[in-house]
Amino acid sequence: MNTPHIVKAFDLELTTLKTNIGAMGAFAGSQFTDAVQALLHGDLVLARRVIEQDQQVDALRRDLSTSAAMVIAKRQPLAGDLDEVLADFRIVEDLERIGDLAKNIAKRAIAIAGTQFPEDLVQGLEQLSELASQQLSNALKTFLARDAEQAMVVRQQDEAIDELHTVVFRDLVSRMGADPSQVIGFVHLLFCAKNIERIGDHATHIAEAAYVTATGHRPEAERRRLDQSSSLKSAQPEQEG
Amino acid sequence: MSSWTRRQLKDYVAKALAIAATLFGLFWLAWILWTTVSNGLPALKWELFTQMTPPPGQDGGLLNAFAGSIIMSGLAVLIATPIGIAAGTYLAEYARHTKLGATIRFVNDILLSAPSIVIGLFVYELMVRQMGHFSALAGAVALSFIVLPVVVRTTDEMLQLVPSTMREAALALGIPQWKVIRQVLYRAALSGIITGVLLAIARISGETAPLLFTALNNQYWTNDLTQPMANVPVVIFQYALSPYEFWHSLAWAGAFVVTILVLVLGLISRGLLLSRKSHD
Amino acid sequence: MTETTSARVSALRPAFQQPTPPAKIETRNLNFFYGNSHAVKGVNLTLREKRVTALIGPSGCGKSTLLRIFNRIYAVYPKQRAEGEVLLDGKNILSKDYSINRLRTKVGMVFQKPVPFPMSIYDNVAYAIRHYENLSRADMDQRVEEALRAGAIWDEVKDKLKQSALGLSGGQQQRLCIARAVALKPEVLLLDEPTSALDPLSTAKIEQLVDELKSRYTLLIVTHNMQQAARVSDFTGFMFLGELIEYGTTDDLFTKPTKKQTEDYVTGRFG
Repeated sequence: MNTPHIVKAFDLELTTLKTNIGAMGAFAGSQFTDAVQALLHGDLVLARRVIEQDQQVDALRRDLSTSAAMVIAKRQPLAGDLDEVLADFRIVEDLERIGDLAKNIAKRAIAIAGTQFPEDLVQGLEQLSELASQQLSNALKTFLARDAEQAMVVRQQDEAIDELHTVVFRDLVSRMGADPSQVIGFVHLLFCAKNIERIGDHATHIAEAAYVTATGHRPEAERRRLDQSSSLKSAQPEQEG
Repeated sequence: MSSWTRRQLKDYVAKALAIAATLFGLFWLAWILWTTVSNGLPALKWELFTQMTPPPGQDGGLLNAFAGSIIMSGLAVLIATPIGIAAGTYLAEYARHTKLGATIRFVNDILLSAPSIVIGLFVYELMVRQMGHFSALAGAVALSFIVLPVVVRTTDEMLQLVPSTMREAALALGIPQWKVIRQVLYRAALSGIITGVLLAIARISGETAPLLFTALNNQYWTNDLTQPMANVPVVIFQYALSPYEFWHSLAWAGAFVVTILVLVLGLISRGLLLSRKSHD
Repeated sequence: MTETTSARVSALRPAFQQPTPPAKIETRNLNFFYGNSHAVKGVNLTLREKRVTALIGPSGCGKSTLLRIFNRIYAVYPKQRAEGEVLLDGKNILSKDYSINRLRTKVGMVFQKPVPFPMSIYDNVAYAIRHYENLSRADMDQRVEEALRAGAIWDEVKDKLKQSALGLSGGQQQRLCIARAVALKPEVLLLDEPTSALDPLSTAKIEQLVDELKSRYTLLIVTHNMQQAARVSDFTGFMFLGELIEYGTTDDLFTKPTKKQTEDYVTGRFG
């Protein structure tokens, strides 16, 4: 990976692919933050723009997938080169999903526009989205820098997102019980929280793919899944003792 | 017995027969060489190369015979080589697949295996009769008729061996054909062509019949090409048939020297061919 | 932040199209015969200036035959003839008035098997130059160095210019042949399967060289290695049984071929 290829065009193609994925990642990230902004502050104009710009994310996915496919077809990469290109494919898919999730959040933002929500709820969601946004940005950094160590650190931080999501989930469920007239709003927020958690997961995939690119093999230990929302039986935290 | 043992036996018998045939051929060759060496070696002395052919009863050497052979062979090569190379080049480069080329090759092959006595007779009619006497010039011309087809054949074949890609590569640079032949193809085929010339020389070293009709012999030294000139094969012929013991030993010495010469020429040409192979 | 990112992202999409360069060589209804055998049938092909065009196709499809028309190397063989027109910068090179030797200074050729001349490395390159130009020793040295640099072999031979070219390895010999061909500063270079006799490392070096040569020469390369054609060329033509079945940009021909035969050949279903 350090010595350049004899055919310089090969190196150029790989570098271009990497740079373009970085740009796509930045774009998906900005879609996400805009969508959350629109959701929590009722900004309809922003929400509509996010929905419209999702087409660009899709178009980028198509183009970059094609570019990566052409590298495989023309250059027949092997060993480390092959790992790198396959990781590029995965990352592009993850980024496109992130874009879709952001669009979904923006749609829901339009649906709940005008509704007032309690301050602490809004803060919880803001915190969650902040964590996820950081996660994405860090994952992209480790991908661009081919930094295996940092990739493992980022992978670890998914636990924090999972835990916070579980807390927000419980909070929303209990509020639904307390104030049934606002259920539809809370349900939208529930979905948005889930979307944000999944964006975090996709960002973690990207970090894992970065690890594979940097080292040539998958991380050994299984990632701990700390999101308990799929198995919650009641809104109350489990009783001790 | 099993079929496998039968096959083995057949194989063994065939191998034995082949070896026996080879030994049979080699035996006679060895005998000839042994006779030449055992008779010629003792007769070798410095005088061989410093004194002229003696009259009966006197001591002497073969100086004029060697000189004469060298002069006439040299002249033959000088006459035949340029013509031969030119003709061989024409065949290989300009007439490789034409009917004319095929005809020329055919005629050349006939000349190649023509009995040398016929060539001698031809030059006798052409030159000796016209001039009224034997001459070294006629001898050289007769020898050149033997050298010519060899050089034509070798040049033709060696040039054909040069890969067509090399020809095309030179032409593709816009170089005219004759220049390509001269500067590229000859260089590539050079060792092969030289081998051909060397083999031709080895061949004419021992040719007696043509010289018998053309240069005859001369007891003395002469610088005049229009006069008969001494040469080794005819001297051997004369001396061997004579009753004089001393002349016999001189004849053996001459035969020995010629044999060594042919051996050396053969070795040189093999060496040339091998070094050419190592290039490819 | 959204604005600048969005602008940057738009730039990623290949919105720009390279303008099609002018035609360097155009063939019009080109036919070729080996005796009575019709080897190239009615080909209309355009070679674009300073681009690499590749010809692919199964064995015997006529691609090498077609390549060899462009410098009239077939003229050495009496039974071979070409009919039709081949226009180099608008002039028909097949006409009797067009000097063959002059054509060959404009259109150079590199063969499948490297054939260095039996001379020193220096002389190999200088040979053709000497025929056309009378240069001083210093000028010739410079021309030879230029050519050897263009052939990406200068560093490997600069200390042994007087040694026989036959002592070089296969890949080096081929690069020497390329240097020899560009020594005359032609405008077009014809490459007839230039790497099929070479190992992968030498092949990569020559592909890199083709990339570099593209900026100065128009190149036509015949190859039976489809990935190589996809890697190095800008335009590709697919030939079969003497006909030019399809011709287009390399990207289009290999990803979205319009003719079924092309697709079958490219995907390894026949040929």
